[in-house]
Amino acid sequence: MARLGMLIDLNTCIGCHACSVACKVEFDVPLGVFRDTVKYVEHGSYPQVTRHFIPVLCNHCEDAPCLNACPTGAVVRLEDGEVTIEEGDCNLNRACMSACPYGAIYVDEDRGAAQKCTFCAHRTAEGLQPACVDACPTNCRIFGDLDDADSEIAKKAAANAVTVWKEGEGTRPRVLYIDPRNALDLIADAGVQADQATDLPGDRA
Amino acid sequence: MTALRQAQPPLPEPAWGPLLAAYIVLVGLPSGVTLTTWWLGRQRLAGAVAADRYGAWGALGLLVLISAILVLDLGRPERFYLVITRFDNLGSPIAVGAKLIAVKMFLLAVLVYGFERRRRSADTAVTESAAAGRRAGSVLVWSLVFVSFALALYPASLLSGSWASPLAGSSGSALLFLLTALLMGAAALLLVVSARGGDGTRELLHTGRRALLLLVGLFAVALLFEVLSLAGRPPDRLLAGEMLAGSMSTLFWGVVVGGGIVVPSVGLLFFRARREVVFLSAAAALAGAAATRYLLFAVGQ
Repeated sequence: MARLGMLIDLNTCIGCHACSVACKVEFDVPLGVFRDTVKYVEHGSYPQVTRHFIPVLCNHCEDAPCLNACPTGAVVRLEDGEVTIEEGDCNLNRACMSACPYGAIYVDEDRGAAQKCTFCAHRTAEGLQPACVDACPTNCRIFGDLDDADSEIAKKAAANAVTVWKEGEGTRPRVLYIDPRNALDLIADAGVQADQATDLPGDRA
Repeated sequence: MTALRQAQPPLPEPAWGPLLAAYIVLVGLPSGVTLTTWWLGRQRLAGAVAADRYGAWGALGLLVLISAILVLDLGRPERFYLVITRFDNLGSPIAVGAKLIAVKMFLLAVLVYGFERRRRSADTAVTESAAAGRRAGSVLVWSLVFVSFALALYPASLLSGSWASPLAGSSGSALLFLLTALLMGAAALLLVVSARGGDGTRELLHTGRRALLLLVGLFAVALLFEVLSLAGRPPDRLLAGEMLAGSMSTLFWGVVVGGGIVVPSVGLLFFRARREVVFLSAAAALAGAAATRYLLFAVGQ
């Protein structure tokens, strides 16, 4: 049994959103919500200004609050540790959304269920990589078994200082980051879903 | 110097909205009604049997309403039964709460059936005094008391697991949920008795007034220490600021403190002989308790 996880190297992310688009296509994710996206965060003041690109997704936490909150048992952990949602068992009470500190879960009206990143369990079961990993042009995402010392992800995690998003929540994420400039601290209050309050009014095309 | 600011929620909109707020507020009322009528029954007052009967009907009706709210709040209401029939995750407070509501509705239905049957028996002069029946009745009533107590406390457990209701995770939240449930039950009973009159009204009003005063006093102390407990850590101070001087301050000072504590204290202590004042005091206490539960749900969102 593997302990699947993802390592994201913020040194090499260029904020191209290829991962976001690949994810949207793979799961037909509705407009306005995300399973996987990239946060653009500007930091500092002129002339020392930096823009960070921070890919974010469900952290498939070891101690997942969504798993504990779901009253119908619709949120389940698969054999290799991926946290997924059984659509047929979800009655959209939104307890998982209220519990997740990462804002990683959204309501998919078309499917009538809460949805989130699955680490592309349907692809990885066939030996493929998750869609976001495949799409990344800079290979900033590495997916694999964190417990397999010979795996690329385990080697890279061992060779670098890795951290996690919102460590203070105590959820023990399986998505690790190489974050030499402490960019994750800048999104400590943010979630995967984007605030569209500042979007221009009008219907989407 | 960096100013303190409220932590931003991870979702643009809270996942739970007005229907869940109404559910959290109302779910305390049937618990309070059951516990209050049970306590009155143990005082052996003249009108206690009637209060018990009306209380059981009232609590059952309220639970039907609350269940309807909970079902309507679901994105897939047709799958509401999963919360009751699935036992995969008893670590989820909402799963336990929904099952407790179903159990309480069943127990109340049996109790109401017993009341109505006994009434008909009394009308036709047929007496039922089997010891087994009395024992079953006693088990039923104690089961109702325990389930009602659990339901009075359960919103604290439900909301403390959510980032959207940080105040519900505070040290005094469970006690406040319990006290407000009892307050709402006692106030609702006083409201009905003072408005309706009838047999045993005077005795019920006297005992109910004293019970409400005691609960208002306990509530005031619990609220004081809840506010004091928020004075320590910076995130808690932000919650206190929102409640005492921010967007929720009108509700807090006007309805919780003014309506929930000051009005019933003055009314029930100094104008206790006047039924209309008792009615007004009970209404104010009910509003104060309901507003407190709403604040526990909404502050920090």
